[in-house]
Amino acid sequence: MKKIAIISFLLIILLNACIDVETPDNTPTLYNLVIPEGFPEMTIPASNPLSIEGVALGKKLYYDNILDKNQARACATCHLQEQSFSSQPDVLPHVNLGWNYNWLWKGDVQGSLEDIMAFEVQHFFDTNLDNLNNHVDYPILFKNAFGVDEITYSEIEKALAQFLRTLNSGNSKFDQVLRKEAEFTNEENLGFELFFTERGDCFHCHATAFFSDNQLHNNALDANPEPGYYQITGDSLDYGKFKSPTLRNIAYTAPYMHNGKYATLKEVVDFYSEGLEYSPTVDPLMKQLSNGGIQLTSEEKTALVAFLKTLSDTEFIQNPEFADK
Amino acid sequence: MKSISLLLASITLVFFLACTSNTVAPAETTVTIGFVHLNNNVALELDKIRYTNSLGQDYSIKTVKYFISKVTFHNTNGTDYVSSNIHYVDIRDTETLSQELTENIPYGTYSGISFVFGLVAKDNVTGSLELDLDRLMEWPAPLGGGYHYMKLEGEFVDNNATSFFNFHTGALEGEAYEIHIDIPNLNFELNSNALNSTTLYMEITMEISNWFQNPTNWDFSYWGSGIMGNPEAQATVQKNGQDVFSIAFPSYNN
Repeated sequence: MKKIAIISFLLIILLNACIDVETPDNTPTLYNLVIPEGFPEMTIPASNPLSIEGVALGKKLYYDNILDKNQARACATCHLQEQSFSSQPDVLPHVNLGWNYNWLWKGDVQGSLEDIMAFEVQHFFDTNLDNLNNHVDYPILFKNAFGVDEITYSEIEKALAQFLRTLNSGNSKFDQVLRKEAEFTNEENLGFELFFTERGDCFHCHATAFFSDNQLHNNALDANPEPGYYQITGDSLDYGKFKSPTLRNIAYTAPYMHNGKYATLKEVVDFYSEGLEYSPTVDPLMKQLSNGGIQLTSEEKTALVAFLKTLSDTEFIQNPEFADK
Repeated sequence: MKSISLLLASITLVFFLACTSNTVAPAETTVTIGFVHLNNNVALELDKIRYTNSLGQDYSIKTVKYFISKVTFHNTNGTDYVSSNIHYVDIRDTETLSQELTENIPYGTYSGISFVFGLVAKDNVTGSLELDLDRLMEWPAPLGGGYHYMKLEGEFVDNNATSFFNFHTGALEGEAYEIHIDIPNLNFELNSNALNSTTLYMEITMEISNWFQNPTNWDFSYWGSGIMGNPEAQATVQKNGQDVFSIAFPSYNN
């Protein structure tokens, strides 16, 4: 009888031990990314599929000063949601970045979101990995998102890329008109016609659906332009070239141009109408350069600004999913 | 013992024949197209105002981006082999200047080659090409949608004033304006003796100056800096484009 009791006791211990050593399921939960209607499919690297845990971790990092070596600033310090994740004077907005491959005003980096995040984490922030590995929360969050016991740059970059792939704006009035859920006013419609024909000729550099061709151009902004892309390539033909920014949510991202030269959309339209400046590498797409610009009437200028404001997506800038909380 | 030897010999023979049959060269060839750009029969020099059109207007070329599609080999037996490739060519992107066809072309006797400059209607649909081309070559919805067939850009001089021109072609107001280029009487053989290598290398050459002449001498000042919304200009470009292209086989034995 005593033997039976001992054996039973040992069996219970063994059973409990088995239960204890069972590996918990650490597989991240797949994130269902909804692409705005009319947008092309987003290419997501097989090495970094979106997960609920990864996106949440990316968002936490985006708003946390911990990435900065001096812990003085976060991504969100300069990329404010109410300004379409941009801010003065020259911060490019974080919107629809999952389709980008040329990064920063001067095209400093080419590649995927993971590539530009590598630049931001390792060079811009100069992140100290010890700050994350010794943190009370982050090790378990990285374990849950990526299954790692030690946080490296790679997982930080992947998490940020995952969050940024969710920052997609495709519900402006322009989008609603395309979906036949809204109609342009006559003024907006004139602006639309100007934008997408050679009269205004905005579309060559600000192509739909992202309102950027993802290329670099010298847009005749200055007679003595800054070097721009030339600093990256060393090719004199690239002097004065800067990236075409997206015009989505443009009403929220003042001031304008890489150097913040213009405070308002009206000033921008005035520039393209009669303010072009010659320099040797101006893009031939600025085909009215010899006339100083496209010479819009005041009615056309007003219409163009009205159309640009239809690219505003208030749902995007107010979306609590993207906000710090 | 004799029967074992016979069996072994038979197996060896079968094995040998099987190996031999696997090494027979396929009766078809891969095809690589080189895209060449000339002006007045000399390699195009970008960015310099060094050319003069038939009307005496000096001009330069800065941008040459275009589509070639439906490359078709016409076999003398009546069969046409149509490539599924849509070739995007950018003179400044060397990777686009040499492209291999997806499909191989069977050995045989061929009379000629044809292709389309631009895109046929079923291929000219916004969003149907890869994203980069969507952004680079978009032909906007108010002009009918689809893609530019070509962006040919540069500067021209008129009355001592230099201006840009954007010679952009595409479909407009329901008219396709693509150009069907047919180059007959090439009369070539594709077989292992005729080919210097395992691939057929052919060149499609664009003679830029011909865009601006025959039958219409192109007046940069008259047509202005942009022609995308101008059906008369698009029709003129389509006619001038008939003799812009030629085909050669630089390494061909025949």
